Amino acid sequence: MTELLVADDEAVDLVLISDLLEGRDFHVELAVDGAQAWMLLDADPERFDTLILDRFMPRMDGLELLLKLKRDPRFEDLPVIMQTAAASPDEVEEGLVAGAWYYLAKPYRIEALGRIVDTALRERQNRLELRRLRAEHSAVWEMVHQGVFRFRDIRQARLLSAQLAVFTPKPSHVSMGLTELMINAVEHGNLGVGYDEKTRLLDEGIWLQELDRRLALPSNQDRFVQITVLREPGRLVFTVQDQGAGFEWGDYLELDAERAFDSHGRGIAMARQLAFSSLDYLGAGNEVRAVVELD
Amino acid sequence: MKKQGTVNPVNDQGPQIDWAALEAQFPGRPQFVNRLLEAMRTSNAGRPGELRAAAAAGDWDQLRLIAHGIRGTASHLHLIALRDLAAETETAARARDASAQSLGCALADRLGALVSFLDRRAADMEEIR
Repeated sequence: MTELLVADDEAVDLVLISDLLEGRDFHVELAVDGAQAWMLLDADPERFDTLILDRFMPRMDGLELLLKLKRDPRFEDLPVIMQTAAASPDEVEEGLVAGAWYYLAKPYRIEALGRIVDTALRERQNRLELRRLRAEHSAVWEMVHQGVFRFRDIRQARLLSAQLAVFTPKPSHVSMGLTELMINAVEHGNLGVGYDEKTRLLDEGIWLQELDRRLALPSNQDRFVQITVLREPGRLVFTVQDQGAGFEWGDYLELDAERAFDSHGRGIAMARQLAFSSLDYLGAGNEVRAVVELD
Repeated sequence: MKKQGTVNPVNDQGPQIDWAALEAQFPGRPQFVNRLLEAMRTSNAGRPGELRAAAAAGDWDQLRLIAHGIRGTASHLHLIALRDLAAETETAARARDASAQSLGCALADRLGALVSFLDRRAADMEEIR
């Protein structure tokens, strides 16, 4: 059964979260502070599928616990949703850089937390699948010296990013990073979806349909994104090229608190922080090079 | 029978509570709103005293932690004035600014008034049952 761990010392939060999860096929374990949450996690690292964490708590606070988890490879595949009233730009950046998978500011709509929990659970399953793939295929991938792949849509991008990440030391992070770069190349690069336009499409729940519509346009039918992977001594270099006009990439390399609670817009910065040892956009921005150290 | 001077849980607007906003957030779920307010009442009963003690001792870390918790809970319950005062207290305590002391006491007063109101409301509802 799916198990969630909720670490929060606020009774009102616990009532809200319990209400959300009532009637669903989850087991929810509650911890009143970071120290108790750590005891539960440490006792059985594989047990929980997602952690919902309050930022400030007595004894051990959420940020301290998050940093502890991120240093511990046993929890590499555990998505952490940080929920907090601490929403100053510095605090948001601190939480995301520390490795929070999602940063949710109070007050949030309870339905929003539900959607985020569902997505986090899917992310958990993806990460576990990546771990399995890595165990199965790593010997084959180690023989790859150079590879070139072409794709057109974001489903192919997701499939490919998972496979390419398998032979990196932190596949879940690299998969997330490659996915972000590859999806950007499709939607913003080849299909010309702007930032505000994507916000609206996501809000209206028609993002995927719109991408499919644009893909089918005659002007886009021959467009593809190319990703090249090259093995160099001690590292892998991924290069993603799209056929669009590029974009103002400089605005997206750092986590921007202005966009922290938008439904998108953090991917490149998160990829740069968590997935790659370096990330460089070239020219107008329709080519990006990401490096993963192997040692 | 309703005691004189107690709070009518249905009609009394109560200090600080934006009932319309709560209804908009949890439409058709008055019992759930009651559960949230009850959680607010019971979990915050001791906090005014803790706030005053932290302010008197100049314990900024403790003041910040308590104010932060109140800020989050108040945000969920649309207690805007309480939320803003808690945020101000939290900011001052984090900066170790002397104003945190008076802000902490003001926050204790406001929270205390809310908890007292919720106590009266709970007693009134109990009587109706």
